[in-house]
Amino acid sequence: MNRREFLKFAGATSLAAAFPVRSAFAGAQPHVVVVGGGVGGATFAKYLKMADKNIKVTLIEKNPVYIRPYGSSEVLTGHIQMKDLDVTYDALKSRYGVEMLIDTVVGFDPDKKTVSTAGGKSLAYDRLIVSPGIELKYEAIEGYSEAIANTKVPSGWIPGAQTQLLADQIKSIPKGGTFLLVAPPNPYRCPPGPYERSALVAEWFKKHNPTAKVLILDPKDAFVTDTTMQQGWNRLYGYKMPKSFEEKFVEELRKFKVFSAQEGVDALYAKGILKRNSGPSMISWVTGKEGGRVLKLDAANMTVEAENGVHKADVINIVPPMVAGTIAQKMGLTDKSGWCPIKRESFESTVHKDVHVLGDSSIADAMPKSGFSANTQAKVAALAVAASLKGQQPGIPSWENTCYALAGSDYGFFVADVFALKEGKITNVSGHRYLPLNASEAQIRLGAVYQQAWMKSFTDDCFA
Amino acid sequence: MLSRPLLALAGALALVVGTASAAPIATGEMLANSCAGCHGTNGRISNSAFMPLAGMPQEQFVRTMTDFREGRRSSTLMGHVAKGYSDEELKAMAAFFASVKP
Repeated sequence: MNRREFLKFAGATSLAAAFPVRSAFAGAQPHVVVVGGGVGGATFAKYLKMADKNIKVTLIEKNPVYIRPYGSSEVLTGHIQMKDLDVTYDALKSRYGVEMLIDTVVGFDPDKKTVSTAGGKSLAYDRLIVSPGIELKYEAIEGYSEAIANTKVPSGWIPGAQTQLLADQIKSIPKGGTFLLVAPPNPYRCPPGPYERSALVAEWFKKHNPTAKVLILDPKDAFVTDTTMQQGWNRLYGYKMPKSFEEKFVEELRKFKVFSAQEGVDALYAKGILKRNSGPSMISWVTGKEGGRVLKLDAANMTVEAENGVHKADVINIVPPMVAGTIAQKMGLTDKSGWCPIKRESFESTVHKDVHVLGDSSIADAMPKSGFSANTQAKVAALAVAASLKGQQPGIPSWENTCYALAGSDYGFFVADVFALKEGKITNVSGHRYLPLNASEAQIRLGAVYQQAWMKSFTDDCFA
Repeated sequence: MLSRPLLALAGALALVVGTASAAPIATGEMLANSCAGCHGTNGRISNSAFMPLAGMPQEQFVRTMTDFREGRRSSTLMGHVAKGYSDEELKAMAAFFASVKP
């Protein structure tokens, strides 16, 4: 649907849309409208109010309670419950004076600078912030659909009823059964997520169904945290490190002078960097090179056809390919990649003036599509918008990302980056991104402690 | 408590006074905002595994982060993050946090 059609669609709503209330007369209180109350939108609204409480900020969000996606795989193992994912907008309203509008945007006029909602409201904006997250392309996999995801083969990549369905299915897997996870192609939300989810399911199996298996089918040959995650699988679930990764381990350990030039693959095992596992592995990862790309789902027979053959499973969890949230597409903010091009210093769209796109939907160069990225992007954008409403240029930006990840409840690690603008691109300026392969048990345990602490501190920084 | 614009000003002043570097850097506020995802908004946090940064003396912040960066102090993650910041940037962040009431 292009912008014109979206506007036509908007015409079906009330007459109010024709007479928007304009707040942006010179000298009047500027009005910033935020579409989407996830991490990006909420953080932006809070930090803009902190930067200048005289700006009127309206946050439009379709759900009255936010279900946080980060950490939601912990529901699958019963470590937390669905209700633990709920986040309210109370503090944004009461502490920061953000006006919440629980509604859906159905129309957008970038020339008149208005948006209209399903509830019949029309809002004039001085700046519009769009932070809609992702849309899952269920149909990209033959035989898969949202209806099947809701009833039989859940995705749960946007948390909700599918997450609970998946948790229930995992508990009902017969003794020695198979959990099959279909990993997505790049780029996607939460790069370590599919592999962390696999690990947490394996941990649950270890306790409750020790002969059950986790099979990952993947179109990719690498992923963010692939060395440290596989190291965790190796130590906890009998996983045998692929040869190509053994070589990567040696290369990295030599680079950081943990290994001498003489020490090779044998030293990985002699020094306890990896375990020699002789028994069956609870986790198998079929890479793209090995034919892991999935072609087709047969939900009735619970089989998945990959390039390397047909796999039967008791539970199938598909993380489908994804694109920018639907509203960003309807507003015409996406390019042919399906994501939204932006100016880095402000996250202002390169398509529409005075419209900014935050978080997963944006094209942010080296930044992963993660909650932490959305959070620091929102802060950069909030300072840029506050400056711009005073007629000033945005300041020099700075961003960070940390994705904590678990291979088990007490086994944590991360990818961490500091980003700066270099030659027009958002670039890592902090170097090595991962926990060292010779990290101590204490460091690994602390990684898990910080992962848990982060769930609260991060939610508070965004929403409270 | 200082308001945000005043905090930003404190950071900007520290920047002007504290560095001789030619390359312009982000404000203390901009840089410090990245810490908040773990260490709390404005570095304020309690009852957490993460260290509060609000009100930390400037010298302590700079020394701790420099020790992390140079590997004099072991860490889980902070060594990685510290490597992303120059001396001038650490000073600007430190001035910001020192000016926040804990």
